[in-house]
Amino acid sequence: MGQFVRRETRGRPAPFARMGQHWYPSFFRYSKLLTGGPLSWCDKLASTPSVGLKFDYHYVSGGSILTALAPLVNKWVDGDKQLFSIDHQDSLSIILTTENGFRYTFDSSKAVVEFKHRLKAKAVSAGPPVLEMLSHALPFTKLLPEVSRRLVEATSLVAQKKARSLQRVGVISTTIVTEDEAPPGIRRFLEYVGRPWKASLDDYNLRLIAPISQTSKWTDQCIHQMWKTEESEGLCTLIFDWQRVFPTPKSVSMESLKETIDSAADSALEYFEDLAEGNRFDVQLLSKTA
Amino acid sequence: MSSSSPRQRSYSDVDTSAIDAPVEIGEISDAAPKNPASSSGRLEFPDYGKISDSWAQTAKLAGRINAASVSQQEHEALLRERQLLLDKKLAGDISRKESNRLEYVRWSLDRIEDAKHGGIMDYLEGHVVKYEEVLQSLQALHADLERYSRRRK
Repeated sequence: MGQFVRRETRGRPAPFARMGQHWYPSFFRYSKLLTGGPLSWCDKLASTPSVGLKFDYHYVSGGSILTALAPLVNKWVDGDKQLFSIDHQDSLSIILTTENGFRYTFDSSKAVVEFKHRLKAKAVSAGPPVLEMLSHALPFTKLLPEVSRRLVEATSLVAQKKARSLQRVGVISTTIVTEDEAPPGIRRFLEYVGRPWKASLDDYNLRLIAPISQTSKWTDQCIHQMWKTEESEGLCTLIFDWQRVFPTPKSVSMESLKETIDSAADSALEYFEDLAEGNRFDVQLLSKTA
Repeated sequence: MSSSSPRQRSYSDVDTSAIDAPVEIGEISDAAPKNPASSSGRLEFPDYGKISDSWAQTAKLAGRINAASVSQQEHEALLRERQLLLDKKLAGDISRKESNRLEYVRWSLDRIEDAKHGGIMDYLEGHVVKYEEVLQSLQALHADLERYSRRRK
């Protein structure tokens, strides 16, 4: 994760190295930066990741998808205990959820793995029930590679080693947080939206699809969704659905799929950091650009 | 250090309905193709009905665990970057972008501080709130006593 660029001077490494748009001390190359990057704001707010792929249409029954996934599903057993559930199955799709919070969705064109925290209220002897967390509280930047790995593993089983035409890769961050604890960039955006009313907004529902960058091979865009309801006790939900869209569907083998997802995940993380920093929503910078 | 939001209640407050049945927190399924015709940006409201705000409670706990796992090197690098940007600010040659970066670095450091000390601060805050409640009731009692003592005179 993360491209690490070292600035070389006279054959010796300089004291700073670049990650994304920022420069960090060079010693970071021995730390988390090289292996997984520094902690993202998504880590600090316990955001949860999803990774999705959209392929060309290939119709198979929900049962056939489950049969293809059998080598994977057969591992999700502990003794006699089944560690997954089938949440939904119809003629053309299936949704499976593992006990530790990974949800797999497959249909005729999409493959998605998402992570959600799961809880179980457990009865105890002579006392009130206690809550047991079935999923592990891992940082977003640790969960994201795991979600990607699971997606590639499951997709290769469903595709049965046939090359498919990839139309879109999506990397999603879902966060629930109070506005005063949200990253400064997000707060700045919400303040910007609320300016006409000169007050903080109690209830809103925003959805913006914005292009980020474009090359000859792909277009990057992000669907930003933010909402807060009066009933949600001040908590707002932030969903950033970063997408890389291939105007000409890209033929990918299952081997190259991991590379494509990793590249998308790097760009998505970089964009999420940019959102949190908030230069995009700075009125002074915006007026200069205008 | 940013104060912990009282709206995000502690883990022990979670509503324990649905005993023994695994419960998924929230129902946000942006990319999940439940309806293949819809785009991946479909909006779905979270389902707080069954387990109230347990997402927020666990997210706060999980966020603190994650933020507490920040390496010493990363923490020091953030402190150094803050100092560098503060020096620029005090010298009066900070750009707007750098100023935004300073705000973000401060926020990151706040999160780390909250992860390290937020739990105990929440505990202390709870006690302070209780003491304030006791103080209010004592003041009310004092006012009542004064009022009755004046009547007797």
